[in-house]
Amino acid sequence: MHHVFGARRVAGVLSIFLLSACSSSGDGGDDGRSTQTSVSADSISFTADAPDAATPAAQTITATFGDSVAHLAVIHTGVGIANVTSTVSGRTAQITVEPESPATLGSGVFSGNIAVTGYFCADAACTSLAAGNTQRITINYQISPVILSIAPYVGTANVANTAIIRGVGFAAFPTQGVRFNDTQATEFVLLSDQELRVNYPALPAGTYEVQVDSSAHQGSLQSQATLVVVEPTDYPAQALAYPVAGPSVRELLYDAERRAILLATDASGGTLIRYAHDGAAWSAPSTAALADLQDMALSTRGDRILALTGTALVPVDPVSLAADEPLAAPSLPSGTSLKGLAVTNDDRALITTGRAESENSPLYLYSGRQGTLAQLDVVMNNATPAAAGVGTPLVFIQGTSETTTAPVVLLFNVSSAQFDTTPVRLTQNAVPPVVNRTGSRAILNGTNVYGAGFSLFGTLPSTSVAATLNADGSRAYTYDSDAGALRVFDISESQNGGAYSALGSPIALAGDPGANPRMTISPDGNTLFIAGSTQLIVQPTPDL
Amino acid sequence: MTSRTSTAVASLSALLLASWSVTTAAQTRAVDTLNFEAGVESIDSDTSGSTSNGTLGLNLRGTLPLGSFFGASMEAGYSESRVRTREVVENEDGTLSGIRPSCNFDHLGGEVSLFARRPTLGRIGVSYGIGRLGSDCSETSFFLPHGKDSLDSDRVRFDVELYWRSFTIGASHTTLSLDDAPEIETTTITGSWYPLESLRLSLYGSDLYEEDTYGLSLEHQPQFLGDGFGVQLSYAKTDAEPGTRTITLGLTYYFGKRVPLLVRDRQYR
Repeated sequence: MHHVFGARRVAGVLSIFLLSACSSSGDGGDDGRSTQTSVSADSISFTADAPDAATPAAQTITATFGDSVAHLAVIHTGVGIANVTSTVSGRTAQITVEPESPATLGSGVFSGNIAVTGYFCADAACTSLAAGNTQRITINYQISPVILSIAPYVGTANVANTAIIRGVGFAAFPTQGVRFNDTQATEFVLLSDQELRVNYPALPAGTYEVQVDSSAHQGSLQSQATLVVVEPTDYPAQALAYPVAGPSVRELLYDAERRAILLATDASGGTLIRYAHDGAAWSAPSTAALADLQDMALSTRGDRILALTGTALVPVDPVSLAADEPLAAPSLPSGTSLKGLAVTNDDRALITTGRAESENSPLYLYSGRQGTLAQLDVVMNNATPAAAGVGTPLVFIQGTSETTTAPVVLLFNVSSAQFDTTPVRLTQNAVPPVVNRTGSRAILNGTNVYGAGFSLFGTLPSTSVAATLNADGSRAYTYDSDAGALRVFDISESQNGGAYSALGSPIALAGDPGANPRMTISPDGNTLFIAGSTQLIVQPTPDL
Repeated sequence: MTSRTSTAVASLSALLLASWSVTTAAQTRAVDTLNFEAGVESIDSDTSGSTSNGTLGLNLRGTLPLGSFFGASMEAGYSESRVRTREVVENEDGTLSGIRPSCNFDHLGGEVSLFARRPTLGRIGVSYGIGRLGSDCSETSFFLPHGKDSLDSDRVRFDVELYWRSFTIGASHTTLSLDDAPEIETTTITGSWYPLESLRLSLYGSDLYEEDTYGLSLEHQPQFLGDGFGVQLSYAKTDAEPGTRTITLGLTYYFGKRVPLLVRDRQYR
């Protein structure tokens, strides 16, 4: 090893050489690099109003790149982006960003990034590529929770109360408040991603949009829930005649929002009857024929009557009684017909079916939001359902007079979407089940009073042919066929299965309702309605 | 830079040819003997504010004499590059939303060269090479302008070197043709110095894409490895915005006769 030349001299020569090269090429950096890539936007926002909303439309960004760009790479991260595609035309590329389906993601804010990088030859032989600049595009995708309903949707003026708000996606955005128009709820509890329990203060009569506040959410949530607060009823005792004689009443409803009484009867093969109160008196009944009418209920939001025929669910206008397009029950087994329905607090309804014999048949699920009717895997034996005022739980009592072994009484928990068995085995009779507003009390077969854990609290007289409960479950009201009168029972405490004693004397009604009566109570608890085969009785609730 | 550097290439060639005629006596052959070499190199290329690549490449070269004045070489190489994508798709807080996308490139190519050389004077040559670049990215990725996932290229290079004592001054001009794209002309000027017979220090500049790239490279044949291995280290930077810097580390094994690097460069390669 030896030095072949003086280092200083060599360094000087090379410096001169390279300086010469530099000066001869000095314009290169000033021309603007032809390896540059630019994009038409540096951010994209997608929004969906609800987790079950349609997927937002794809958005397109134009990338423009210099003549020297040999390769374009478009990469992304973030679960909110379903796909990124590109099409090239000359020195531009159309980059289309497709968001993921809201149903796949659920509600929340989803961010992502797209990087657009142009690559150019790294050497004169193009044996490798080097990156030019990278353009970043930020993706923001907000899928909003949706407020679907509040149950019960009717409240009483100047009375604070509790309700269940149902929706989808509450958990993704921290709830900071619940409002009824501008009035804040006094308390709220997030029960699940789909459910809030809320206490609202005493409010004057009016309609109140339910809104959930969250600073993490941009803009207001889509709300389909309205609380309707009405003045308390003060109807005098009265007997209202039917437009046709001797119908069998299959269901009786009080529409508190519109101050109307609705009956589902078998008159003329199936007839809906409606009595409206104009503030002074009950109007003459209006009717609408609906063949093979079996049952009915007000929808969760009260915007339609869900009428049930033997083969279909028919949405009906609650004022005009005009029927909408029927939803036929799919795959209804031969010899089976739709029998009864109970509405949940999430704009759905469970529908039972029945057969002429003591056999199981499938249940159906109606979804108001989707407008669908689907058969479930669950089967029951001629079950009759009843729902608590807050829309959960639903009670199902089964069996026929031919049933030899008493079937189990079932509960459907709407929050968990689970059927649960109760410790009770009982074959139903002609008196439909009743559940109070909160689900703390139930009366089966008109006689058996159940409390917490579906334990038998006590019994009512066997002569009770119709029954109902006040909102808090402290009072049971029955129509006693022997007395031909109304009876009131304090059921706030358990009798450990023993008989309850009536409060006060039997209360005479304004008339005899007739055979097979149905009974209900106004949400404010002030008025009882009893409808039999003879007439409809309006009865102020006894102050006992 | 192109016109001036092309002029420099032509001037060097003319100087070499003029000198050729007066120094024809007592010369060794253009290529002493058939020889081979195999190399592996690792390249790190980083563009500020953009992605960086890591490349691992393999190449083989054989050089053979063609009479006293001429030589030829054949070279083949394969390389794979992995793009480091995280830094361009991560959130501002450094987190990553989802899975880091991947993006890889590969290159397969070959080159044949024919040259004339006087070991005491210099070398002049012409080369033809072909190559294919491919990409495999987890997302949208395509070569321009045709939109395919591979890109064919071919190139012609003229090069000239002048040897003077322990110095070599070289220039080359490459015309690169890519699929459906305009040709790219590149002139490279290199100045090399051998402070030791086993060590070469080079400075170079090129005008690829009309932008100046400057680099420094070192090659050393450690004597304790018997002149059978060469280690290369280079650094290059492109004078542009955003700038790209490239660091290369290579290792070459020379088959056959063991000679110092200076001799290898002027009588074997």
